[in-house]
Amino acid sequence: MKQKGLNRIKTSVKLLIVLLFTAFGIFPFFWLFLTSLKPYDILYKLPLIWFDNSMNFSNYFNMLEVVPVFRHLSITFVVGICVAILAVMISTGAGYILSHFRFRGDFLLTLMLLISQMLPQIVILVPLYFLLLRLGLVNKLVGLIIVYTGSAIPFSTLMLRSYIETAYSMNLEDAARVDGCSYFQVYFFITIPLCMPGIAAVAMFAFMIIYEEFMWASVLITTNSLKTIQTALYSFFGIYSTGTSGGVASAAGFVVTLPTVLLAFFLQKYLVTGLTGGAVKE
Amino acid sequence: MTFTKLRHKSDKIFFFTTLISPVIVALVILLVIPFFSAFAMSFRQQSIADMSGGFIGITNYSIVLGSSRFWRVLATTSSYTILSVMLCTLIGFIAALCLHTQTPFKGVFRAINIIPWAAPPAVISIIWTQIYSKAYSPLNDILLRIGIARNQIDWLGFTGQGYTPVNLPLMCLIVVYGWICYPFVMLMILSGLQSIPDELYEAATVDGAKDLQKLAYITLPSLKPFLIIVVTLLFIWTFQYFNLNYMLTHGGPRGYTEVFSIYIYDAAFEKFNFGKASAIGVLMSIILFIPSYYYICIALRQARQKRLAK
Repeated sequence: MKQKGLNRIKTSVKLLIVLLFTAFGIFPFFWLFLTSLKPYDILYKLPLIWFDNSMNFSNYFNMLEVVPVFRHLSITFVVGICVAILAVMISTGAGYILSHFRFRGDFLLTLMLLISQMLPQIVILVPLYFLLLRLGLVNKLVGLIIVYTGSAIPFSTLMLRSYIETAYSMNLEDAARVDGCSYFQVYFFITIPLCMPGIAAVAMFAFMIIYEEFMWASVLITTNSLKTIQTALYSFFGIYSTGTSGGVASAAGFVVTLPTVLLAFFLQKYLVTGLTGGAVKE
Repeated sequence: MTFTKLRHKSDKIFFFTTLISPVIVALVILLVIPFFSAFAMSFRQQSIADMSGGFIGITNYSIVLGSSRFWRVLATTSSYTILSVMLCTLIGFIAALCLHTQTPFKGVFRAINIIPWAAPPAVISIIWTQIYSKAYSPLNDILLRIGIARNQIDWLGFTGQGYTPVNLPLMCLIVVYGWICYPFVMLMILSGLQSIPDELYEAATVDGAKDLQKLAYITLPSLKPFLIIVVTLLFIWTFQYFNLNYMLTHGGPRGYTEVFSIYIYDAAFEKFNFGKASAIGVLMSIILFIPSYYYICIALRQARQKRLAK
């Protein structure tokens, strides 16, 4: 009886702590949502108005006139999908090789992949910028896609290697080899179909990283009409989001957050493996 | 016989080369060459005033190391990194402990607490500029209503170092970073907690161990490898973090929140002194070499163990 009461206290204390940090985590979004609902005339009244009857969704419609959100979203989607496909195509092969073959230099390759994951991107920003400038790829989406693919390859390869290592048993491949399949046939007809869930997860993970990328996009793309959604949002609202456009900025922010949050829910299982370069696996 | 064997071998080599070469080409062009040319550029005269690219030895380094700005940036970045990592590890650790065991609505809370990590940086900057603004900040509003603050606080612009011992704008950025990264720590620790076998706890319960004893003698020691990975990775990431430091304060007010990535960005793309920017980048990489080396050793060891276990 006494034990039961103690347990109940423990559970409620735990729940209280959970509510505390969840409030910390969610409050900023709650505020973003509230602001996005406020029409202009109550947005900048002091003391602040938290709830009001005049709140409505008009900012969501006005937003489309201020920022071409869907244009920038579609640019970002095109870039993200291209990068995801390219990175996955390149990394699946490398992940397969690293998990199946022992060769001179496999250690060096793994090492290089890990180093490039740790390497501060800002250090290679200047030389790569000059390289793209010389190739005439600055201010072009192709340049952005190339750079992004380069930055997505290390984590994709490491993720896919650790996925391929555990996804299926080697017996299946051995059986296919005995039946006379060539290396390519085994790879295309057995490995890729069986690893599809992992490959899809890595592609989505890469897409998510690209969708959220800001630094490269802000340096490489300066033409307004070609900006990805992050740089567009920043250049439209950035430090001025407390100005006249607060409500509209918040509405746009809310719309832009939705895709990544959905992806993150979906990818929960793979986040840890992806971010640690395979050092931790769930 | 020998012919089929030979064909088999050339097949294998062809397959191997086709799959591996794209990665090597991409790595070399997009990461290895840029890094070494950054290194080379740091010894050259390459600025808007003089794009000649002539070799000038260690002049860039001596200019950077001789300026007080570099040392201030180093101090700011270090304190930013250490405090941020401590903050998000603490919150994430507590969150994971609470959400691992039986708690009502566990799944819902887990999902909600991933959102800060998943939100795009531009949106985060929109939110937090509002929260940290002077006049229309909900934070100020709450503080004023409760009566903690007497007047509105200018969170990101306050530099009254004479009045307070803390660098308020930097503390604000640390809170933002802690807020972004605690979900990552939470996920990592949760996956660590799942790897602890239940039998350990059952045995401890039979032996009459209290909850705190279980935490100290089972949970913490088992989580140690995970914690080491989390802290090392976070250290590396935070030290080079750019996005929100740039978006929220640009390093200001008056350099109070200037960290390395902002310093490099400013040197390269505002002052157009690429040689100097590269020199700072190389110095930053040297600082990051130690934790990176440590982390890479851990990752390689884990990979080897996994292979052996298989």
